[in-house]
Amino acid sequence: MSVSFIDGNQGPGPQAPNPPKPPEFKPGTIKKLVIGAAAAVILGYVGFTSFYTVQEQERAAILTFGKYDKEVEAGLHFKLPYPIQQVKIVPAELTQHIQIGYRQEGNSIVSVDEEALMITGDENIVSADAVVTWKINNIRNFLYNIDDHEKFLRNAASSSIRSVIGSEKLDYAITDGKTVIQDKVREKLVELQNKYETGIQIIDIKFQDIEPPSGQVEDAFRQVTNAREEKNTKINVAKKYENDVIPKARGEAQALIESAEAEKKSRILNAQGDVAKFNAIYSEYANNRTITEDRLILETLEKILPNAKIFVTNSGSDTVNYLPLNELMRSGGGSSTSGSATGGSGQ
Amino acid sequence: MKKGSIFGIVIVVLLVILGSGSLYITHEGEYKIVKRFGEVVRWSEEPGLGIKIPFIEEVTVLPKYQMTYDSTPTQILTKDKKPIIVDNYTVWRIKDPREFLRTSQTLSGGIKRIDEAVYNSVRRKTSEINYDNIISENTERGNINDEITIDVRNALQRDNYGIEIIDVRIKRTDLPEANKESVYNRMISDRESMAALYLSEGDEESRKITSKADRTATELIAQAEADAKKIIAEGEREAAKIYNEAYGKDPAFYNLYRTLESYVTTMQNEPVIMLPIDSPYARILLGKE
Repeated sequence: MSVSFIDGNQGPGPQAPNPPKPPEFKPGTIKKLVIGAAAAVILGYVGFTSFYTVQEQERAAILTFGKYDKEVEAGLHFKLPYPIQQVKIVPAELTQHIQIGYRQEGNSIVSVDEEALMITGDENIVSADAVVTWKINNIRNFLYNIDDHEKFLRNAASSSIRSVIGSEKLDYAITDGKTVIQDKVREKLVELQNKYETGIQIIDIKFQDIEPPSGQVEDAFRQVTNAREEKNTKINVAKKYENDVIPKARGEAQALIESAEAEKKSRILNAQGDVAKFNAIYSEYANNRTITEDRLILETLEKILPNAKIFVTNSGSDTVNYLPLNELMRSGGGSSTSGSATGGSGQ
Repeated sequence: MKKGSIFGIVIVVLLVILGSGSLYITHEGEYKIVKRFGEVVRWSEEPGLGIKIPFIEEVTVLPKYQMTYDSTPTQILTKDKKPIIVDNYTVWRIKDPREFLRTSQTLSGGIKRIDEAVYNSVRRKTSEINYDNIISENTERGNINDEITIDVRNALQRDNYGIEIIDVRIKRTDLPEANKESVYNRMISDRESMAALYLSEGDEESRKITSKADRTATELIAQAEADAKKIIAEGEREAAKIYNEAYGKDPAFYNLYRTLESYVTTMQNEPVIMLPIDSPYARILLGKE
């Protein structure tokens, strides 16, 4: 509403530069116009410098005669004109980031070696880059207690990171140590913000990378990783061999046992069979010893003799009589010496 | 009316000139120093309106807020004679504007004082400390940053510069290029030996596993063979027991029986049998009585 009032008064403003054109104006009217124009200019100035807008993510600090007066939230606000009141608008609700060790410009990432490279506790060199997330938590300190918040933040972050990495070993830093180191850095960084009273709240610090310096050193590190993989491969191959050999051996061992058991069983069963046969014959033998004995002998001879070549020796004369029983049986006639006996015994 | 208004305007202009000449504003985060003919008579550090005598007194401004000063990195030699480049930053503020103006005149003058003090202090302190203590910041007496801060603070206080040192801190430590190269080479050779270790450890583990597997396999088989022999022996024993029990009843008959049985098996094919003429069987064969 006030704005429209100012605009209304500015209406006669443009006419003021043209007083010579309408000569019928009285001098008094010209003077009024001049005063009116001056008033309009002053009011316009007051209007434009007295209204300000604070965006949602912003907060405004109001200084009255240079003194920190109050903080204002988002919206359209009015203040007294300069030099009585001044307004400072800061993005107090905005979460902001700064990059340590690298800069992101658009889509390209450029590493900043003099920030990223640092010496570890075991006198190696490591490259570490991080993002610090922060916001303003005390507008007065943020505006009037430090000269350049980015410089403060960057210096504090760099020194905190360097200090923590400087007490850690390289291998720990590039492997398991990342989260622990992050926590320690955050602690130090928060401590420094409190010490300097920067009005900055550290929300988080996250390492993008903690790694060996790029180039030859990086290659050497990669070779270690490869070697570790190769070690694991070798172990796996050996385990494969183990998994191949041992079950096979177990199987073979079981097979040996099984075959032994089988042999044992068959030995016993054979013995039992033999004994059963023996017992059967023996029980007959017990009934009639001589007959059974003779029968057994003869039966055995019957089994053997058909294929046998029998020589009958005369102990007195040293003559050997050949009795080819089998040949006789096969041909039915023969050329043997003791022909007389053959017929009877052959049948 | 015309004369009166001109007179009025002149009065207003004069009032404005006098007003602006006799009033001044001290803003947040600054000192306003009132000088009379170049001499500091008073200063205000609380923000707000102040009054001075127009034309006679003039006002200059100095920052009350903290500033950071980045020193140029300096190469120093540690106690254990290792070269190292140390990069510091200093957080400072003006504590006494009068002393500050008297000794330094301008901000850059003050910075020059700080630079000198920090440079001297860092050189002296770091040369008393071993390399690894500088890197880790921990010395026998505490923290190296604290030591340097106190040292610089004392030096500047002693000379009354009106400067307050809040903190002097190592921002970065670096090595001269040549030393950096040798560290890189050492790191590379470190890694190479580590890689070699991994590879031979792989061989070691592999040999361990395969030979153990071989051993286990061999032992399994040997054990099984031993067990098998025992089992077979048991079978033998049991069989013998069975035979003994049966055959023991009549050893003479067993002898006959077994002899006959063995004839059957040993005299297969075409055995040659020598019979004495007077043996019973020959007699049966030849029909002689």
